[in-house]
Parts: sequence; structure tokens; C-alpha cells
Amino acid sequence: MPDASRSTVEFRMPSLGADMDAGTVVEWHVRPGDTVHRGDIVAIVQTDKSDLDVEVFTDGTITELTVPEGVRVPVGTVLATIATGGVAAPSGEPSKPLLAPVPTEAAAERAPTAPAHPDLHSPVLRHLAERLHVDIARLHGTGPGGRVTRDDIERAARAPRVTPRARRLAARHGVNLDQLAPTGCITGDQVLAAAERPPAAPPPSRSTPAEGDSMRLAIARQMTRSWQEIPHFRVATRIELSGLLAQLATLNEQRTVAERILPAAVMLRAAAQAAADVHGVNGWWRHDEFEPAPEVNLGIVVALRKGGLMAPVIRNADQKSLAEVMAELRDLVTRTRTGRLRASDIESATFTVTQLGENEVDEVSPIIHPPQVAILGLGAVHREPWAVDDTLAVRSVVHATLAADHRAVDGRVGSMYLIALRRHLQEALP
Amino acid sequence: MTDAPSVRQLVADAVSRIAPDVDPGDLDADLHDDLGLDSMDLLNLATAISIASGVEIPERDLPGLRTLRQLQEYLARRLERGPDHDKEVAP
Repeated sequence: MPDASRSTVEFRMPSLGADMDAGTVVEWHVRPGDTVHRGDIVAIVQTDKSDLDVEVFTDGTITELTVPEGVRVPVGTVLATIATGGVAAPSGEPSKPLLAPVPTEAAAERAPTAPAHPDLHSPVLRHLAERLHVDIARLHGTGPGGRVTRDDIERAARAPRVTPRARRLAARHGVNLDQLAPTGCITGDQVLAAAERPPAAPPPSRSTPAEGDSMRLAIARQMTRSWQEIPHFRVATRIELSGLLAQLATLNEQRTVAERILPAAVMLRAAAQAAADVHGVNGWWRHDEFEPAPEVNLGIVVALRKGGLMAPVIRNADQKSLAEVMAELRDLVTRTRTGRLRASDIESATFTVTQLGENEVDEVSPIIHPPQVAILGLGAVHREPWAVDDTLAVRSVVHATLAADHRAVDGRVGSMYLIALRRHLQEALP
Repeated sequence: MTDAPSVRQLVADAVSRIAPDVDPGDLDADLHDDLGLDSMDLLNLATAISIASGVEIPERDLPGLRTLRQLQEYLARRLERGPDHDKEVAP
């Protein structure tokens, strides 16, 4: 008879983005018997896009790890059980998942993928798997009925996966990850073993957070779904920023390099404030209706230098000061590009902004990240002719384009958003 | 602190923290145009170097610091002149 004052909660595979329906625990940081506290990072989960540190949202003691490292399981699968010291849940009430995953349409509509059975596969696929040294029985298929497809096998055969710990150790010990293993997952232990061997001749290669092919596929799936499912419409405007930029330059001259504020932070905060004002663009399209979000969690598209992108989130961005938004932006961009994002960094975006300001293009026509209903695209701030009363002047201008889901949003609401954005940008600095 | 190896090391350490995919030995590549660092990366790099060296890098100096070699030379020059030029006013 268990202690009535204790209850068990289940730690489940979280949904780390709308496009994720399965993930792999590549490293457990805890063992049964370990005490955990809310916010502790307990595991590294690999998605198609990247490896993410996953935090626990309760205090307790790990009782069991139900999924071993290296096994791909559907979102929602119980990964571990945790005994909490709190009052037991009333009998019959299911234990609450520790991580409240963002329910995604993809995950909800799809039954959990059954482990593939080798007998189900055609001789052609079995032969392909053999040739590429892929254990077909361990693959979780993406085809009909969870069947393994040619793509699944080829994907499994490509580039080795590297855990963040392995990456850190490789950098510290000068281990060239390319020379470790042709397939499978490179773990920290393998790196340590390699570090003890005589050093290889070439200098250590530096790995990136993205594992090119799988990230490309994840982006491809999400963008195809968005393009096929969502009736996009776009509204656009030009916003004059000369006054704001001059104020910002004066402000930055007085600040240390650590305190400086980039125009990007000003624009992101204004974008969040406008989304709070015009809340018809802030939320999700789910089950054939618009679900407004209670807060503005701003997804910011961060491009990776070797291709691909991630969209980490600044929570309650409309409520934060410019300095706070800037600090979070710095932190998120750095961690995105060095492979240190946490699961909580990419959850629950309600509205997204993409800025192509660095690429010197004037405007971008973005694609919505489902299940969100709108995305703001900002081009590079540039000098262009600008009508002032009845004469022409040259001013710093940004082109802002809002793409919205016409199932949820109408043109009038889209226009109101851009008007609010302009107002917040013009009032951004006192 | 002002000897070349420590300045080199300091810049290389900052690069490996901010942009681990950039080769810290590639001294003459343009950080923005050739290596793809954006304004956020460049600011983070300048901040990391500033904190590690104690040298404040004013906003007006940033446009002239486009390669790792320029960063090294700038830092060596600033350290030569001694600490605390932070509040120096431009002519």
C-alpha cells in the first residue's frame, strides 16, 4: 500500500513544436532514486530539428525510467515516473503530465506510431536497410500505419547524431566528431574514449547545432503543411524609422557594449505589443476554430549559419522592457546557434516574427507556422524616398508584411495589426 | 596581458563561445559578409571580448572591426594605452 501522502506523476515525451510527433531521449541526466526539482534538466531529447534539454516541472524522486536512451517514441509516451511528496490525487483522476505539451493537430490526429514489424516490410526495403546498415526493426515508420518508408531508412543511414554533451566534450578534448562513427548517435562516452586515443592529425571540426538533413526535412514538412492547409493572405505597409534610429543611436553611445540595444529588439517588442492590442492575430487555429492565446509568446525566427532555422520564444514579450527583450534575444540567439536551447525555449509560441534585416532585402513574404494564425515579416531597414507633406525626403524605412490565416483572421484585423505596429514603433522610445 | 598570444587566445575563446562553427584561425575573413555573423552575433562577440579584456568597445568603433585580425589589433592597441578608456569622448 503506497504512502497516501505521496503520488506519482508521469513525465511524458513533450511536443517541442507543431511539427513534432515523436522524439528520442538521447541522454538521461537522472537515474531512479534521484531527487529532482522543478526546472531541473532531466533529459536531452532529440527531435528532427535539434537536441533540446528538457526540464521537469515538479519536485520529487525519480521512481522509474520507462524509456531507455536511443529509442524513438511518440509524443505523449511516458518516459519516467516521479514520486512527489504532495497530496495524492483523488483516486480515478489520471496523473497530470509534468510537461504540458502544446497539443498539435498533427499529434492529435495521428495515432501513436506502432513499432514497425520487420515482416511488414517489402524485400526491397529490407535489402536497402541491410545495405545501409540500418536496423529496420528499430525504426518508427512515417508511412501509412506506421510503416517504414524508403525515406525513413535513408534518413536513419545519414549523418551521425551527436548529443550536446558529446559536442561539449569533443570541443574540450579536441575530438573530431566526423571521424567517430559513420552512423548512429555519438554519445559523450564515445567522445571520451576517442579523446584517450592518440590525437588524429586534422584539427577538431566544430559541429553546429543543426543536423542538416533532419532539420531540412522537419522544415519541409511544416512549411508544406502550412502552404497546403492555410489560406494565407497578406497585408503590408512601410514604416518610417529615422527618428527612432537616431534616438537609439544616441542612447547606445552612452551605453556599454553589454547594455546596447539593437533595432531588432525594439521591433520585436513593438510586434508583441501590437499582437497584444489586436489579439485576433495572437493564438492558434485548432479543431476548426480560432483559439485566442491568453498571453503573447513571441516566436523569433533565428537562422543558423549552416542553413536551417529555429523559432525560440520570448514569453510575454509585450510586458517586458526593451532591456529585457534585448537580453532575452541575445541569450536565445546565442543558445540557438550554439546548440543549447531548452525544450521550454521553443514551446507555446502564439505569434511569430521573421526579420531578414541582415540580408539587405527590402521585404519578406513569410509563411505561417501552424497552428499559429499569423506571422510578421520585416525586411531590412533601408533608406528610401519618403513623402513629407508635399515634398520628398529620404528616410530610414522598414517594410512590414503580415501573413495571416484567412480561416481565423480577416483583412481588417490584419490591417489593424500593422497600424498598431507602426504606433508602437513610433512610441518605442520616450 | 598585452602580449600577442593572450590577445589572440582571448579573441579565439570569444569566437568559440559565440560562433562555434567559425574557425578562429580564419583571421581575414569578413565576419559578416564571409562568415555570416549577424549584428546580434557581432554584438555578442564584442561583449564577450569586452568582458574578458576589460576594454569597453564604443559603438562608433564597431563598424571598423570586421575581421578577427582587426579585433586582435584593436584590442592590443587599446590594452597598450592602458585600462579605463571607457569614458573617453570622441573628438
